Amino acid sequence: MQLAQSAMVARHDGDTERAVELARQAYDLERQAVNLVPERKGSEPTFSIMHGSAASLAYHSEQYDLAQRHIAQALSGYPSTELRRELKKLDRDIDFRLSLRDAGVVLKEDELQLSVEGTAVGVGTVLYSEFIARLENAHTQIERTVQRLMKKDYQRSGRIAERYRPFTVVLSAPTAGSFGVSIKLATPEEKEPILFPQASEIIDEVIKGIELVNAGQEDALRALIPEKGYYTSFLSVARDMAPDGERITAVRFASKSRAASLTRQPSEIVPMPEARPEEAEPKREPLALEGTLDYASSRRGQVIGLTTEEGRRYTIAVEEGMDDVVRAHYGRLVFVAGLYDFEEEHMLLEQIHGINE
Amino acid sequence: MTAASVLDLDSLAREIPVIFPEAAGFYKHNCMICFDNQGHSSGVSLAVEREEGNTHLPVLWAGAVDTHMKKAYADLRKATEYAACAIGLLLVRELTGFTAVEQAMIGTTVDYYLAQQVPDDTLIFNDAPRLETSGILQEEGTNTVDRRVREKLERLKVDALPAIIAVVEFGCPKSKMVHHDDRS
Repeated sequence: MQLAQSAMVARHDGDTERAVELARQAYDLERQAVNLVPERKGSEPTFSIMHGSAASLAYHSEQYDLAQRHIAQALSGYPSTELRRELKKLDRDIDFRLSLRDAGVVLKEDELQLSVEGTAVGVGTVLYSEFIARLENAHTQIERTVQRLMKKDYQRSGRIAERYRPFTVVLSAPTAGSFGVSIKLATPEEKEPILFPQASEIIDEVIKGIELVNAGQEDALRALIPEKGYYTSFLSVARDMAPDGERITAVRFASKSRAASLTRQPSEIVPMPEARPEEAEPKREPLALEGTLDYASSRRGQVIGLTTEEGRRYTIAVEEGMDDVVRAHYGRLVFVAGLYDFEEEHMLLEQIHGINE
Repeated sequence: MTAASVLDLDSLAREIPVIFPEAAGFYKHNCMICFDNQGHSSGVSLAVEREEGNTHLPVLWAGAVDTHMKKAYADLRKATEYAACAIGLLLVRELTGFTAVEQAMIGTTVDYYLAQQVPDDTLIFNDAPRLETSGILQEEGTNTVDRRVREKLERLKVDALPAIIAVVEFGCPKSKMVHHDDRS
């Protein structure tokens, strides 16, 4: 127990090497304890909890094969639903880490690995449009996370002040065998390194948000990102980069310490509705359209135009936080959905994603 | 519960069997950072709401928050979660017949398991309630103690395993403790 706690403290202190070594020592002891527990129903929940704990320690000591063995043991017993969910998540993380290791990718603290899977992905190749849009979205999420962690109010438009851009994003060459790139948050030499947020904390925050989006825990995402603009931005950008289920089946994120996969499709990612007083609700009806985004204005709030293939023009109001994803689609064919306000004669945008032309 | 209960952060290592000195210091510092960030100092009163009756407990600690500590614990979100865990461990010891005697690493966090006394057989987690904690630096909008408790109960209702939930808020310091046990 003592070693596991020391490993937790070392990880917090950023002493990764010591954290791994302590976790390894803790695992060795945990394994001995696990072996004392007989594999029978009467041993539950001790049996599955101890194998789950051994799996976590093996994972933190980077002994992934051993971790997966303990996960299999725990799942073969009668783990609680909560523990089963945690173990399956850990198992997916390990699968991804093993695939990185097999591809020879070693991540550093300031690196985020972004990769995609699906029929649009070949051996070391990917359809340009499928990858670039997601890479731009990941970049947006990193920039917005930096601003949020630095306590900057959400800024809808205009150039972001230099002090809120302490990092330069650098890409490493794609890895052969799977399609992924490493996004490195580097501090340019001419800039003063900042104490908070550290690159690893920003990456950790992005991955945690993606985990919550993929788990359908929009409530928990709201707790992680209480500021409305940043919450809406994170969710709408995640929806924009979510896989379509065919050409792209998964978008994976990994850092040195955690990993997450986005496998939900855009239609499954729904923002948490806000409570609105009923009497103040104007007459609105759901509306979905396809067309080209053809103008944008920051006057009268944020308003964009959309022209359908039949030439019909619609005005669309963009709420705070959806600016990033709208900007990314300007001039392109898109699907939009929201509520049409008959008094204002415009649509309140709730969803937008690109259509492959 | 003793006649004059306090939550003494310096007692974490002494009186909670599962907490070792290095982790005790870590947890204590996270608590100090959260209270200090919200303008509180040692002796601040924590309002505790629970089924058995509400109470107020002073939170005590020795030492002061300095610049070095603020830098080391700059991520307030993580600090809040660790601090809530420490306060939860102390609340359980002060207000229930339980104390944390075992831990399990699950994912990236440490789960603590409670017992009336230190178990002496190998089935150490059987019948031991788990301590489920969550922290809020300052309640705001929908991010409230009541809502967190509801979310935890919702998540736990699929499991029959017993748990004690403790959600802690550091702005206007308060905590809500709820027992969950659906075993038939």
